[in-house]
Amino acid sequence: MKAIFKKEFKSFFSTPIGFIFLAINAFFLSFYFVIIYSYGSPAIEEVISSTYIINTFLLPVITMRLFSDESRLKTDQVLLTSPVKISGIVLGKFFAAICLYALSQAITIIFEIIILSYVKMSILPYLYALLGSLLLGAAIISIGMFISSLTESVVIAGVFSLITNIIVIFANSFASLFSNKAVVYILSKIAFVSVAANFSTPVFSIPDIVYFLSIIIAFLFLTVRAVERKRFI
Amino acid sequence: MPEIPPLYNEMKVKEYLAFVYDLKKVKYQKSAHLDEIMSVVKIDDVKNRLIRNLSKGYRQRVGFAAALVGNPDVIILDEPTVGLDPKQIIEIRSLIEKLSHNHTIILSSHILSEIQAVCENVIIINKGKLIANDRIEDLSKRIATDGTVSVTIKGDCAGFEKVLDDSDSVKSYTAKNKKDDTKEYAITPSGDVSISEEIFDIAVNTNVKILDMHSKSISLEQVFLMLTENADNTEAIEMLKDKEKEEKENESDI
Repeated sequence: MKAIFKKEFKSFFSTPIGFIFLAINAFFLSFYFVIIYSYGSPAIEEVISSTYIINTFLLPVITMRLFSDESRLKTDQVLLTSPVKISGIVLGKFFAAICLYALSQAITIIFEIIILSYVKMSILPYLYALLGSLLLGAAIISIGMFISSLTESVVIAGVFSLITNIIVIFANSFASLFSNKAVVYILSKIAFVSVAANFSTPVFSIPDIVYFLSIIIAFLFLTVRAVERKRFI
Repeated sequence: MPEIPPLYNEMKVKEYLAFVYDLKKVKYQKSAHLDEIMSVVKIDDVKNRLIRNLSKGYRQRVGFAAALVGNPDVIILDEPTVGLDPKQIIEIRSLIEKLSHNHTIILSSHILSEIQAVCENVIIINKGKLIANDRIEDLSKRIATDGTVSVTIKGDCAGFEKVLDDSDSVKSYTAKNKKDDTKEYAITPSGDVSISEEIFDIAVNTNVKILDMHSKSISLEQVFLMLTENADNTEAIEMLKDKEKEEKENESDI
């Protein structure tokens, strides 16, 4: 798993993709920080949640080639014939993508230090918002990775991940079309970008955390299954 | 090693081998082990280059190196020389021979001359069925050669044929017209003797000129064709099976 993690993380930076991802995130985070700071508000949680939408569009670019490229170039033969378990392969790739995402959010640590140097306030809301951001990123990555493991085409993987992500952003908006309460509730929960927004309010909510963890675990499990399938065809 | 070695284009050669080393959880001392492998397959000079920029021959050798990481007892190669130029093919073959001193190598290939050059033991599989499993020399022996000689002559063919008809040591022959006044004969001797010298004498006596003469030895290619094309020809297969049985009995006797 460690070998795959290392290789995957390095490969983000062997092409410009990793750098562009970090740069775009850094740009938007700084941009929102400057705006919010100029209003005199110390609400760094708002800065973090401002990049949710951007990242739902950017993360498919990171995840789309995780598995599809390997099976297209047949390099998955190296991985599948190695003594590493399939769950190890999936987790290695997953953590590599998470690390890249975490790195892109790390710039907010500087913002927090700047704010703390002026205002005496608790660091916990910031950490909670960061946790929410990481959980959202992990959920999007696990879904994107699952889609990538289903196809050999990088483009198809990218497009379908994007469509899925658009659904999870806008499912909420469709809710008004239905009068049935159950459907509205389900749609509002499918829209997990809006669920993630709960993390920018400093109310610690275990259901939200469990919600994201279950999405992540479910899709990681499905990815393991999808990769394992290759042994039988 | 698969037919197309699974290489990461964006990695450097050394990086890739280090990755395979980590992946296989090898116990040897890392840099020494990798250096040794790289010198065996002669990729030292490209170890810091990106794999995407390597030629097919080098890629094949990097694939080899990856297969060697961890010093496995058995190496399985699937068409290791496909798409290489003759020089690279010779290099890969000598590499395989070098490796065969310390490893068991299972090689699958469609190029039978290659197998004849490199392998000791041959297994032929036709439509999922094992039809031969033997050493190469024994395999050719199984298909009994009848000592047929192929001769191309120029000149008075009718006279030549007449003498052939009369000769006791000639069992049968077939003639094939070639361009001009040359003819190609396939002459089968009646006994288990070499007939070449006699043919030469006949040619001298009948005043024809020999342009080409060679004995038809059976190559692995022909053995393969005989065994696979005549899969219905149960005779050949049964002959092989009988022989295999005999061998097994012999082995069990020992």
